[in-house]
Amino acid sequence: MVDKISPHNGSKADQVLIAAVNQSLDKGLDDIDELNLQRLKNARIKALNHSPVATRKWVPLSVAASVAALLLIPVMMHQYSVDSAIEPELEIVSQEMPISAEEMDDIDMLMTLEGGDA
Amino acid sequence: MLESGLTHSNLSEVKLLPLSLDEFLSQVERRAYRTAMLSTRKPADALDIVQDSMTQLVQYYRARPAAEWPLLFQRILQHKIMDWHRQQTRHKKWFWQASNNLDDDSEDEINLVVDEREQDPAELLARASDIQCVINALEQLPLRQRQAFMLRAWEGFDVQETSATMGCSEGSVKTHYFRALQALREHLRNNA
Repeated sequence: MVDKISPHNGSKADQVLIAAVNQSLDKGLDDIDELNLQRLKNARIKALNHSPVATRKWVPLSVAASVAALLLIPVMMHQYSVDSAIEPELEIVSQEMPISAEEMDDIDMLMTLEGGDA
Repeated sequence: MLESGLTHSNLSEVKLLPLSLDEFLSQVERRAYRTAMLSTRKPADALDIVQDSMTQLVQYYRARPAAEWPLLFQRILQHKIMDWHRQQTRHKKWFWQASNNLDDDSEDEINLVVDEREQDPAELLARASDIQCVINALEQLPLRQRQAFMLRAWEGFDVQETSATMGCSEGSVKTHYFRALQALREHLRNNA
């Protein structure tokens, strides 16, 4: 056990202490219960399943923005065509019907009567 | 299985073995767990720390030469433990509780005084062989002292590697290590 002393330049008492503590810690490794050992194993497997960050393919932001813009164009065009199809109908609906000659005469007569009363 | 074929070598020994990443992790996982347990005293948190450390090693350093893995893994592990302590400290402050000393960096001269009394190595050996007593003594060390001791004495790192792992100067490593030895000796003497 003493031959496992790490290369420290301490006193003999220090070296004995270090060796004894190391031995106790090494023994303590065998005291880890099965459940935690299994959890450690699962943690290792889970960690190994992670892909290295360096191999991940990052899409440049400008390219992503361009693609998004291209995808939006058909949607906007469709929206514009729908709007342009609706507008004429609205215009027709909002347009007043032309007044006939008889109606104009009636209106003139009413205005004349109102003027006479005043 | 690998675990039975190769004992749980410390990191300085693992450096010499040509291992796959899976083999490397299986070699160091128990020691990492024990190290994390000494700091957290909570199995679930210790497991989380070990898993996060493994994941980070795989994600960022898989392509590195196997000889670099021990130092990298230990650096990640120690940073995760530090992060855990910081989180705990924040949590305690939030709830108006007294926080523990994370870093015993106070330059108290009394800590540098060497105890010149002769000690019987056999007696120290007998006391230090009690696993629970040793673990208690290590748990009571301040974080930085424990890190320095575990890396230097248990993992077999030299001063330079330890300072790189702990992110402090070599002088600080020596001071922390020296104080850790003193504290351990004192604890084992008083709690025999």
